[in-house]
Amino acid sequence: MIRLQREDFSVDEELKKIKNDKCGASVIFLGSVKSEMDGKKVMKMELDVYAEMAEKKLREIETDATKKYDIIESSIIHRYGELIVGNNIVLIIVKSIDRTKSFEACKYILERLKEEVPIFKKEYMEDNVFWHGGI
Amino acid sequence: MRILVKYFAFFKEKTGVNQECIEMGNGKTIAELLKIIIEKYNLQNKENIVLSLNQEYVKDDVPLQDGDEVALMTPSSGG
Repeated sequence: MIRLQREDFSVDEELKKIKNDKCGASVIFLGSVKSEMDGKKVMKMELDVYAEMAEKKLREIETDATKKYDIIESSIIHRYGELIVGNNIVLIIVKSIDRTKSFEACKYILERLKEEVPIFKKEYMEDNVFWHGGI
Repeated sequence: MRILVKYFAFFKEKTGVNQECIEMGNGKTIAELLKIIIEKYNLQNKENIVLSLNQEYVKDDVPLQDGDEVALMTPSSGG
């Protein structure tokens, strides 16, 4: 399941949505806005997204991970809009029979998401505001 | 031909638009489209522009067709 959304999510609720008793292993990655970056205070963050392309890329990543790691159920949720320190950003849940594959699949999805999915962060630091990517 | 150009992140702010249609002669490449956009909006740091064509990442030497959708983005930084 893929979702891009402005609003927050509940990890418990999302786990319930993909409950499957065949799966002995559920691995969860929860990314949130951290309070410091490179030793400087983060005030807030803004996320822009190319929604149509991001959904397409996330579906490709989920399909590839499902085949590669025998995933039975998975969920990838990413927020956009304005977020403050402590807010949830991204949730990845992977459920499979094998715990090792679940851990590997979760890492695989996260690394590809960071590399390929067109979601863009603007950081509001205490002394600077910038888009990631060196511009 | 008409190309739909979408702008994200830094480029949305810099141009002040989310998207626009740009008219070009047939047989042009993304590099030629980019030249028009860079001049129109006085963009700099051309090497940091990430491009997509019809929702797939591409280099700027790809030829365009009428109705194509091109996006200008910064590098992905989600997660």
